[in-house]
Amino acid sequence: MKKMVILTASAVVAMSMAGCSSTPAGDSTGGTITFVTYTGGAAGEKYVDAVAGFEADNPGIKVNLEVVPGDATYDSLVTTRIQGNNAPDIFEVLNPLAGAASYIDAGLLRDLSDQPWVSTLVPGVAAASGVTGGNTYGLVTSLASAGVFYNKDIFEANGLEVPTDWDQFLSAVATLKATGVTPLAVGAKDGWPLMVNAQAMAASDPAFADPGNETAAGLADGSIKFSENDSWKTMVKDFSDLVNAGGFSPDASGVTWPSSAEDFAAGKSAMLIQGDFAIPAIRTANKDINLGYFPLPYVAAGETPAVLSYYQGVLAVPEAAKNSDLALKFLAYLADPNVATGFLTTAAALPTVQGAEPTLDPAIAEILPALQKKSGDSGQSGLTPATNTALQTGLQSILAGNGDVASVLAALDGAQAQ
Amino acid sequence: MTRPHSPSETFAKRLSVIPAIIWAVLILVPLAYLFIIPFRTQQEYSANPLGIPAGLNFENYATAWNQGQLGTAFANTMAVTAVSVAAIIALSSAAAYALSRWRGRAGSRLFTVFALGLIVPFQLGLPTLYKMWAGAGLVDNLPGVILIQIGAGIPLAVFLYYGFLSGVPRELEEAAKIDGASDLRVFTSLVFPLLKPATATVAILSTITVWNDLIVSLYFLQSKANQTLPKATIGFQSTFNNDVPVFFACAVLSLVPVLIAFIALQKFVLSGLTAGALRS
Amino acid sequence: MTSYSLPTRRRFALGERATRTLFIVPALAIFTIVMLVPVAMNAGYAFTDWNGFTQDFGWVGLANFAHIGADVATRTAFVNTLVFTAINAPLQILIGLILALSLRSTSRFIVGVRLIVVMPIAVSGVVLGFIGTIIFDPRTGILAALAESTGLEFIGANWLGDPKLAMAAVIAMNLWQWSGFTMLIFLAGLTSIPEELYEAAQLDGASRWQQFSQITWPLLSPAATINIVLTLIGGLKIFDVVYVLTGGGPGDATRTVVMRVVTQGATSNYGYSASISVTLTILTMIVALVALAVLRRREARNS
Repeated sequence: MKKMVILTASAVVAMSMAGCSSTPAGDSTGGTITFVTYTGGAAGEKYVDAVAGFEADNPGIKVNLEVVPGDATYDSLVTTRIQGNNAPDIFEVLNPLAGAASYIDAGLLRDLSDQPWVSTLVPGVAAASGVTGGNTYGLVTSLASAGVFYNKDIFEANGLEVPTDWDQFLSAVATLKATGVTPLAVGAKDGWPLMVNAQAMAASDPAFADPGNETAAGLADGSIKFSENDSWKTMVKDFSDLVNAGGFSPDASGVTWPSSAEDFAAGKSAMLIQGDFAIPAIRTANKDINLGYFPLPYVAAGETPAVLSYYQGVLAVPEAAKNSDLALKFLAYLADPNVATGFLTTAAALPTVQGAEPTLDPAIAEILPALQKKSGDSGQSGLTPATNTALQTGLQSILAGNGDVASVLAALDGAQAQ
Repeated sequence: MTRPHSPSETFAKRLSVIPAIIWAVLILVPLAYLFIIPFRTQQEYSANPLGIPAGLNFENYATAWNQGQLGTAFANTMAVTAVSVAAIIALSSAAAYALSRWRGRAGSRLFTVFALGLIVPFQLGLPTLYKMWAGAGLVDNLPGVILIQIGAGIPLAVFLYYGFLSGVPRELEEAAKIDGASDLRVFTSLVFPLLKPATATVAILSTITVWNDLIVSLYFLQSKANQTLPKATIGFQSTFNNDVPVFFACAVLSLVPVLIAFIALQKFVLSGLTAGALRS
Repeated sequence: MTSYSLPTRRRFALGERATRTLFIVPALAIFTIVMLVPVAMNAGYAFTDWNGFTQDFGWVGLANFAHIGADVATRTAFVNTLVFTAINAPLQILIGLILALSLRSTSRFIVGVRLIVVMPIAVSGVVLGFIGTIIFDPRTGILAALAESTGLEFIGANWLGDPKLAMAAVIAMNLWQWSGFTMLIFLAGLTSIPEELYEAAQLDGASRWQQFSQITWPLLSPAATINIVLTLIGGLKIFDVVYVLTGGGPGDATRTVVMRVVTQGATSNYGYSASISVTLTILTMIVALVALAVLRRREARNS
């Protein structure tokens, strides 16, 4: 199903279909929509633009866009507000797939399956965005790809080709390492960039990437232990081996995400495993970079690697929202192909609604064929918020040298048991 | 300093200042960079993070001010701080006075209840507090936040005033009462003026706490019109933003007023602490 | 004055009770509503399995508390917190004391240096994080630049990313911010020591060390007490500096108890995280009370 989503999403861009609907007409009902997000700064411009457009079309309706930190305090803020009878009308789900389940299970989110825009979504997105029961609990506003950004000049100087399987990738790492170039940049101090590395690996493993598979379900409900699962054991070990092979700079555990993007942009490292949302930061730091982008080949020779894909900007409406009619109206506005084209161009992200044609970065165009061939989703891997946190902490400790494969798997089991 | 100094002792005294000067340098250097970095563009910063700016370029300050709507944030933070601190001073000094002049053990027992507030982690109560405030319509409005700041600031203030008051002789108060002055009058016109050093200490410490508070404004305020400075700063520093000079500019703008207040009041703090903290 | 005609004793009694109500109740009421009531109510969740999302929950007795011992991550957080407190508190007191002794005089220069030393108190948590980046970041930080220009590699160590060093960086940052405050309290104590004592000691030919050990240090007892209690409480509750500097990382290397509570509360374990908070609060209270009792006894001996 996921494969189809990406296939269609990218085909939409590639074939440049004609947009057909116009912006929905506004009416006179007034009020203020409260909208909580953790996407601010330059990345939040997409919401700022969309809000401005919506307010212009709908005089009398205001959208209060509130940016708060997207860290461990985020869900606590949102649930505190919901339980305090002051639910936001719309909020962006942190960790769309692992994080939404707690809200859905507790019945806190409005079922959006009956919304008119559901049928206009790229096939697959609607069902996939509702973790349980095939319902739709959020509007996925964009899709992001993640893979390996690489510096073509460095690859050429070292006679390297784009690797297509894990052995080739490791040998490219070794070659770069031998010539004194740091193979991979990562902003591990911030935690989440490391998760992108693991997720990009998981994307190619059917045990993680196939939606609704038994392993994922078993991991989520606790009937399968992480330490007894071959896919997990192998993946954590392979990550650990990559670290021990000197894949990352020795000080990576202290480097922030912006610094990692700047390191890569400045040619201090040859590759960066990241989502396409890193492109603006890379190009800002060095507009002349000879940028390439390929799927992380976490596969055996001859197999097709998957491009990791994310749901981004998943907007949900709490059951308890006071202005749910206005909130739904705003979501419908965002789902309009013309509107989506606008804010997706700002965000340089792949569309989720048919008919939207944002202008994309050339690097994304480079990975599109691979994306159309095969894509994988990290979020189906059976992680809960607790195990998600434990994995992030564990990967950080492997990189920093105070953890090993066994301790990480044990920590995952421990978080699962709670 | 009236005691006689031999030349060697004076020299030793001069030497003893050296550790403090080293410490002061360790404090000043990073602070200086915090002020310098916003004068450089992001490109200059990426190329050489610790470089010296070519000139006084206020563009990043302008960006921070306009994008962050810091004008509103400034006005709000100023209002919340002024009202909260004034109320903390008025309520705590009065309470501490009554507690310290309460004959028998009841006063000191009740004082212990206030001191409990210094130990209990305030964050633990947030969800319940939010429910209460939302029920009372105090969410997303400044008076609601002010009330919380007052409640959270009272324990430390009572603690300092109580200690200070134990060193203030009661004879004057007794005399004034015999002259027929009411308790309220004794407190406002006789005792409170004597508390000036403690008041300065409470004022500066509460100003810092309230001005810098992020957690209360993060949870309890939501609209742009009610934004405070720390919340505006955090909005800049969101996940994918790497424009360091701009959010440093925002940080400097929020730091300067409280730093000025601090410098203005700090000379009183010493005498306030002398008599206050040490006697509690 | 007409009031002379009233029986003074009765007037005092009445006045006192009214004063108490009028003076104490407003502060007590606001403090109780804002802090005591919510904290007590929330502590109740420690005995439930509430996940933070649903409306309903069940009582689980002490199960959450029992789990604390079995949970490696929480145990690590308690160990980290104790390590932080055990190293930070003596250092903060030592630095504060040295600063106070060397900045004792009131010349303009000295007062200027004092001002610089106390300035970091005014820095907010958010800004403290930025200052941490300026100092420790391996790409953009002062220490990294210093290591490069001097060739002294150890200065440019991976302070925030190396599990053996991250706690040191966190402690250094905390000392940077709070040593000035400790100094202020010691200075306050120093100003209350009568100058005559030193003059008498000098006439007796006492050395500088003797003056310190026999006059200054004993008479600083009240200031030392308050400093020790404050650094212990502050250490056990430490959160801000960790949150902005390392986020608890790398791995779990700097994850303190309050940091753990915050992350746990957000991962559908509200009841469990409340039980950790309650445990920490009780621990803090015990430490504060024991320290206070011991130190007050020492003060009594010294005075």
